[in-house]
Amino acid sequence: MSYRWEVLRVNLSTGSVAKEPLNKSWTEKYFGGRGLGAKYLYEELEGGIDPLSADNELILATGPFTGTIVPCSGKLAITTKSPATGMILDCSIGGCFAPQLKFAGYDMLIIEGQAEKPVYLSIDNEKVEIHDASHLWSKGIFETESQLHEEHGMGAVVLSIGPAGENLIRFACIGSEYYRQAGRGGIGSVMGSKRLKAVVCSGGKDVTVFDMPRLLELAKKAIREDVLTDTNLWAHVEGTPSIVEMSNSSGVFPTRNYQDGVFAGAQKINADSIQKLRPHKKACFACALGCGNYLCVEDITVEGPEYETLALAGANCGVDDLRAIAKFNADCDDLGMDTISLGNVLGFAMEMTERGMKDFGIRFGDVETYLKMPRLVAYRKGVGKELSRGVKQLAKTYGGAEFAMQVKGLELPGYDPRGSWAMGLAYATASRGGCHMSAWPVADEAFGDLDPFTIEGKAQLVITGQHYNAIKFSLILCDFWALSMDTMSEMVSCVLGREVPTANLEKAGERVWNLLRLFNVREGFKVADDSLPARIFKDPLKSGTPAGRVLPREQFDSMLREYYQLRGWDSEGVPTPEKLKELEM
Amino acid sequence: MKHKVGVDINNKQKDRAVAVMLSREGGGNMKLILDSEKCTGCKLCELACSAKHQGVFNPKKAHLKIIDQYTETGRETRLKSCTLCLKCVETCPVEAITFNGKWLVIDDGLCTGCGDCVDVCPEGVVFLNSEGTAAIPNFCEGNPYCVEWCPHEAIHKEEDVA
Amino acid sequence: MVVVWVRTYGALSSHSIEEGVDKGDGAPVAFPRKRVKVREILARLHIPEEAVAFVAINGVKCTKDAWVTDGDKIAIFPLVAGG
Repeated sequence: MSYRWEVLRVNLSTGSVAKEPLNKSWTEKYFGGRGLGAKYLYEELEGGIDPLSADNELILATGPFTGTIVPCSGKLAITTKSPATGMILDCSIGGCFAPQLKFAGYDMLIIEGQAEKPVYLSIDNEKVEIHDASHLWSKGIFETESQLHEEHGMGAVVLSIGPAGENLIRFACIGSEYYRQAGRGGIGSVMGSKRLKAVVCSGGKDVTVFDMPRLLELAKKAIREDVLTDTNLWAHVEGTPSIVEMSNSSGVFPTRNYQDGVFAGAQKINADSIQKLRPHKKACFACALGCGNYLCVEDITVEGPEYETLALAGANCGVDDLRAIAKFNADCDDLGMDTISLGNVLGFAMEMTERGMKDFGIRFGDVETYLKMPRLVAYRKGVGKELSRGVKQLAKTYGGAEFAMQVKGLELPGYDPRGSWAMGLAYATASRGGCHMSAWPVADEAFGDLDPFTIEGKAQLVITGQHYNAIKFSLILCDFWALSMDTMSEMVSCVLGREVPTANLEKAGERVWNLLRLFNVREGFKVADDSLPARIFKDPLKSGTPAGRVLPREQFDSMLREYYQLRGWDSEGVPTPEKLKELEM
Repeated sequence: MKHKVGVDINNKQKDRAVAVMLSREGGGNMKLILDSEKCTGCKLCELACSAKHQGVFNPKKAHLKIIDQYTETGRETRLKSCTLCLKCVETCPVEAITFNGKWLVIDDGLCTGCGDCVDVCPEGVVFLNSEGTAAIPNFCEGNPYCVEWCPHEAIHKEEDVA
Repeated sequence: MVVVWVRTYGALSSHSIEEGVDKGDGAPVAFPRKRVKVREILARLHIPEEAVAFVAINGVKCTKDAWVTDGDKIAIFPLVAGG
């Protein structure tokens, strides 16, 4: 029920296209999406492979909710080994590719090997073909999609990479429907290394569930009473830009390479400044909220900018010009690059230049040079050649590691941990490096009532958040619907036709989390890597509520120790055999 | 020699045309209207339709289609749904589809599954169901399910009163 | 008498009976006393406390028991999940 029980496996080295049954016992433990993708990747890869070689795999996974009327279920999980970090990487992309894959008859698409020449893959129900993509290679994502829509119809959904992915940039992304991305960790470069320009999918088959009348009843009620409520409506009314004022007011808004947490120009790039442009709201498939803001800023048309872009490519670069950020955003969307990482890299480059440690030719607030950067980086031209290496590598070569704001090679996103200590733990322990999607304790601390400047109870807070997101992103539900695990349990039970109590879901969340950790341990990651840049421990913030604050090293170490203890991991951060047995792994 | 004027029309065709004309005059042209400013392109309406009428989730088995896509010139958001053009009524070789003055009705017993109605529908909202007979839009007999489900009240029904 | 500028975000303005609190600098709201607690402003606007993530006075986060004075700008933020 709901599952199609079919995996599509494409090997680009041999050109083979095969279908195989989906592993049923794995679905019972991992469901789909993030969890199932991780299980397949863990089992199929050996430790130590080169992420940009034919040995890596790209796993596109749907979940049991995909293609149904469960609200906010339209996202796709793409799992691979990251070229930026060497860790397991899963990205979530919206739009409607995941439902199309399900409607075409597949729960999962696994892409192996490496093509000799640029190719793209088309999926039209049973008809799966590998095509020559030489006429598309070197084109931006916008033109690629446009062209593929002409060749395969407007109803087909396209995932593609741009020049950044083709050029194997460390923070290249995969794009869909022009403005949605699987953004982080260089996932676009994995596709580029396989010379896979795009995947196009159309489907026309039925998705069934066990108890249709009950699901319709639950979903309708959920939309009215649980989705379109005060807790989630911010996403519809303003979208993620509403977080700009929240971050700025609580002093965690990354400003000028995390030198401060309050940005004087925040009012020029906040939700109001975007609402004035009367955006047309855009939703992913089956989403009752619709967080996308499709708008025009002067001559720039874009769906965005999202909070993270306004933070890292705005405040963090000292830029408060909304049109400039929108243009930067649109260029990155077309070239196929992560705005978080690029904004963070530019912030570092600006600070290094201003300090006189290395002249990258760009300073905070220098809009003219800033706007040239996406193209320079995507094509490794001029200063872009160095910048494309990411902050961790740049600091190794030129110094400045204390303020290279990254964890394990993934550039930090938009919340300053000095103003929200649990967020520091979340960044340090996230499965893909410096990431805000593993757990988001900012909501409880900076944006809530919990004291952000203690470590009491914070390890548990992060653990609970990590398990919640792990199962949520395996069933596949979007981050922005803050539903309870009980609601998840009700819906998954009625979709699958078997009782899946909340306790099972909680355990599955912990199991997924431990699996992600096992993958990283196999790659050699240990306790010393679960850390933060020195700036967080040593440089006090200057403004707002957290003025004068750092996250003291000893407090962080204490939190981390407690975290490992509560998790049943040893002092090196490795899951113990007892823990794995308890989780039936 | 007498010149032929006009088309040769037989009695059956004549009867059919008259029936169509009379039923149109009966009044009550229902239709669905989309507020494209409010529509987010979520497709919950398509899922609700296929779920209610076919018992499955499949946008290709819905009696409405939301086109919401980015184009060269920007964004296009529009609705395809039954406009009561009655081409399916006129085309059906066994007269299985009729118009009752408000919406379309199909006699499943008469339908042979030939698919002519599917091909002729300009909106693309007629299809063959899992039994092989035609699935015809009927505005859920006056209470469109899609209207109930839209989270942003972007779709509503309109009725011309005779 | 205290007059403060109140700005609500997200869907919180749907609770409010005051006009214009959900745009730009917000709307002025008057109280007959010299000092007022943030909590009272929420009550006056019919905004349930559970729907509020936090409140900021003049751009700095405060608690619901904080006092506001004449001329202060109050921002009321809704609960947010993820970003």
